[in-house]
Amino acid sequence: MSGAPARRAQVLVIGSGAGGATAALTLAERGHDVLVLEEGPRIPDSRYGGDAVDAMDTWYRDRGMTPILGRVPIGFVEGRCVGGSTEINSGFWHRTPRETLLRWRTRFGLDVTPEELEPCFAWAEALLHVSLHAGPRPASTELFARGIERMGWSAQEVPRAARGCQGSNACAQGCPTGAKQGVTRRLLPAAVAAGARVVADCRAKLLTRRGPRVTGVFAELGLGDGRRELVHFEADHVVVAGGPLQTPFLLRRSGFRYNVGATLGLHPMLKVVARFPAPVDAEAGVLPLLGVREFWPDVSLGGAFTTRGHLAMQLSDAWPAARGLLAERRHLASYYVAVRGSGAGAVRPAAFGEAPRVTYDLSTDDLRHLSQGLGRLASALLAAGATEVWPTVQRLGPIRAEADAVRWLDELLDRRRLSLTTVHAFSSCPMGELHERTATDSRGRLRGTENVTLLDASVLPDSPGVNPQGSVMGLARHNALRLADELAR
Amino acid sequence: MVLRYHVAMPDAPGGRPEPEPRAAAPRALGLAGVVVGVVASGGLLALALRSLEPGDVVAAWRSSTPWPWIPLAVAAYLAGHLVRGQRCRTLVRAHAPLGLVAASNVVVLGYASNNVLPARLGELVRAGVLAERTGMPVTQALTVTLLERLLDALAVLAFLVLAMTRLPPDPWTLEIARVAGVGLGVAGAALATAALAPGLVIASVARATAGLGANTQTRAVRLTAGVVDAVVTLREPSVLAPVLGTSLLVWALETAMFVLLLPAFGLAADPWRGAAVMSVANLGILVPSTPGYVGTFHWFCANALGAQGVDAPTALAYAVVAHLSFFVPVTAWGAVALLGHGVRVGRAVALARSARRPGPGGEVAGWAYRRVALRAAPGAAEPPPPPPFLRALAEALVDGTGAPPEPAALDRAARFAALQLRALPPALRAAHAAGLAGFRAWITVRHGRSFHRLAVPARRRAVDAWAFGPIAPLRQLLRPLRSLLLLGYFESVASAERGGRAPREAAP
Ligand SMILES: Cc1cc2nc3c(=O)[nH]c(=O)nc-3n(C[C@H](O)[C@H](O)[C@H](O)COP(=O)(O)OP(=O)(O)OC[C@H]3O[C@@H](n4cnc5c(N)ncnc54)[C@H](O)[C@@H]3O)c2cc1C
Repeated sequence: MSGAPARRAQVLVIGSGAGGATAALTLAERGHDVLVLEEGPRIPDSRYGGDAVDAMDTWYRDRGMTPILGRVPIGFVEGRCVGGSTEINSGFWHRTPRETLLRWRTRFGLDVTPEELEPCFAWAEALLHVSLHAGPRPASTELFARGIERMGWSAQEVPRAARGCQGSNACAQGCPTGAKQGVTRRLLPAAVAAGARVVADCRAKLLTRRGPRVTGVFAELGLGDGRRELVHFEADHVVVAGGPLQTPFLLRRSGFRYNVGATLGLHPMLKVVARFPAPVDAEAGVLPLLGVREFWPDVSLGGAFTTRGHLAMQLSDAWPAARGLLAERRHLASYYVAVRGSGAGAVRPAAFGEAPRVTYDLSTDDLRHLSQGLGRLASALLAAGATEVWPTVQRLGPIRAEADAVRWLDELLDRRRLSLTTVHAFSSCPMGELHERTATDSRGRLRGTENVTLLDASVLPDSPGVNPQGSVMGLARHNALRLADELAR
Repeated sequence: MVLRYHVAMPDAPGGRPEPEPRAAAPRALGLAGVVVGVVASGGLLALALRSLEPGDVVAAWRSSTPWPWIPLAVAAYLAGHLVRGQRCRTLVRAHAPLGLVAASNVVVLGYASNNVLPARLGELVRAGVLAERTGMPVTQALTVTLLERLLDALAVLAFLVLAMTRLPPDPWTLEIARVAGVGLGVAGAALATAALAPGLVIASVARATAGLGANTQTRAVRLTAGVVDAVVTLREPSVLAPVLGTSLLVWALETAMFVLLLPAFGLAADPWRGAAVMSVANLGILVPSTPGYVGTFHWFCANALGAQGVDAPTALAYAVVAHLSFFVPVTAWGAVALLGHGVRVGRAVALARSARRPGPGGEVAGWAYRRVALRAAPGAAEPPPPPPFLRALAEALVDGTGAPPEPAALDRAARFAALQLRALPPALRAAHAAGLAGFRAWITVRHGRSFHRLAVPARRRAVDAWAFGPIAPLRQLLRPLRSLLLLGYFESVASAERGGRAPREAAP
């Protein structure tokens, strides 16, 4: 649908990632005047799939150095570029499970039904070419499948937003072939074709308000010659889609605190490196594509990105014993255990500096799920024929026998020895109708204002239990459609 | 190849407003500048001489032994101004390159103006000249000036405290130190907040002024941004260290001036006594007063000397000569600087004004915005040389991995890790740096040389003991570093083997 609505609103969208791009396209298609402010740069095509070391500076916020603090520090990365994290993610796609949506209804009063979301998912999937992998599956996937089968578990190939994937194994540096659908592939160009404008290198610093209305945004705009200018944009409506950490940071800085930043959720992830007797050449192909559903929603097992640098990093927890393994890197592949995350996280402006202070306290449930997940993943990999499984746990050493693996079904890993990472963060500004638990209503309208809507990972009420991009885009589309109608009135 | 959607970027024509073009200076302004310069510097000298009492000067001079003490004292004082110039250069480095002579002239113009204007109005003159020289907003220049004065005051206070530990106790000096300490503590805390949490300060001002209308809010935020940008440079250790160092050097030289004048009055050249007198006199003239601090300086200086047991007539004569020793040379230098400066001032002021003032509004991608303030540009990120310590650590980590270490990949890994660590949140970065310093100190103490001078097997043992040993905090300390170095090293090796990739194809 396009054409001018009865009333054409000026909408500022902060952030051009999964949520921001969805909002921009939906609102522009419906005739609203949309300006997207993106803090990061526009990356030219020539830099997609470039060198992994340079990539940290190009694509990632703070060069990927955004640790989440707590008793167990967790490494976290997110995108900071036009397209946000969608440009560097692996493109695994899940619709929000029905069970999750029903839970959100019960716990948060989320007034969105699975049926309402259905067309929103379908819309995103069509734009992102979500599909199963065509062509032969890589050895790392086949071996994983064998292990899962031998364990008698159920698993499924996870669809990806990467039709025609050629296995360049460079998702984290921007897909070099353009098969992986970051939102710069189709969503943002479609939004611009519908009239939206995208301004790169422009960081929103503060929402300005008068009474219950936000009047606009103070933003820092790069002038292209190294200088930056503090400017003020006015708007009828502001959509905040800066992602799970930056959205609550901006809101809290701007004086919006009600349930903002107090309930950050994560999927803590523990990686393992499996060594197989025959070469698997994981470095030369797409990452393992299967996801184990058996222990869902608490524990998910799957395949991780394998490169030489990442292998070394993952083995570094046991480096004195593992340093020789890299000589056999063709035999190595990485897998992960991710848990639903029931610990307490928070995002607050740091006392000093210009970034949020992010904390997450790993719960005992998380620890138990990570331990059990490790036991199960190691068992499956050993059943698949792996001779050793090296977890990212300091001073633990390799797991070589199933008896060593199943030990973790009962015992807890030592917190102080864990090297955890995550790329899934959400629910820092949860949405729903249950006032006391949420920062926005079911449409993402920020409480305490008349004209601010949140449309990104921050509003997922809690863990979707699956990779979040599908949930982010489905809900963003759903609420952007309603916002477009509301603004037109 | 071209993206099929429009992203407003510096390289996209029409995407970003051009900064306002600098107005061409009318030629007439050049001539006017010469006239302004000559008149202003002549006026400066005349005003300066008018404020002195010739009888006092002659009497003081007669009671002293000028040679060689007074020329030496003046030389020390003038050297201090060159150091001040160097400090000023460091403080504005992020905004504009300034030569040492130009920077010293700016500093001296401020001092000279204070000699003829009351209530320290010379600071405003200095800020104006600095703004004109660098193109930075006047607020920011004024903040740099205030920052210099605050650093001066802190350094002077440090000298006073040091002197008091060496001299007999004296309640009057102690009281001055106490008052100055409280005042400077408050000012220092405010500046530290602005330096460490600039966004918070700007956001707070924006929120506090939200109810006062858009124009007032814009003005308040603009002013705050100017102040904050000037202060924020101090966060960089590469700025803070030289600025603190030069501040101490400036006041060491000024102390030298006061010490060298003591023998001119038959007093022992005691550095502590000189430091105490210098400190009290300078803290005293922080109070806005008459042009050239006539009276104020003499009172504080003579009393400080009196508190050290020097008789009143000698103390006053000393104060008069000390005053002349800075007053005359700096005013003369200021007059000369103003003469040279005035030739260009008319033209430069016109240019700077047009370039500096953010216009009322601009437009990006067809969307109007209100201009608030130009911000300091972050310094161009020079790729740092690979730090030897990190390179040596990388070498120890990759030793025994099956292939001989590749020097280029080691360099790259070390540089990569250094940049990554720099990107850590400030508090974490500081904690990590402190921990690493501990590690390196431990190695040096244990082995008698620094880590990177150890043989690879010894380095490996040391790393294994810390990074993989039983003590959790030590493991956590080295965890980010060993991960980063290994990632950087092996990705560099893989990337070199792989060669370049073809660029991504355009979206259909
Ligand atoms: C390496 C990696 C792999 C992943 N793999 C998967 C996967 O396979 N499947 C999956 O479902 N999910 C995956 N994810 C997660 C998924 O990409 C995110 O959950 C999703 O992109 C979140 O969408 P968002 O709109 O909330 O934030 P983002 O997509 O991160 O976009 C936020 C944007 O806002 C910008 N921004 C922030 N603050 C401001 C500001 N103040 N002013 C202007 N702009 C601002 C940021 O620069 C960024 O571009 C992965 C993430 C990463 C990092």
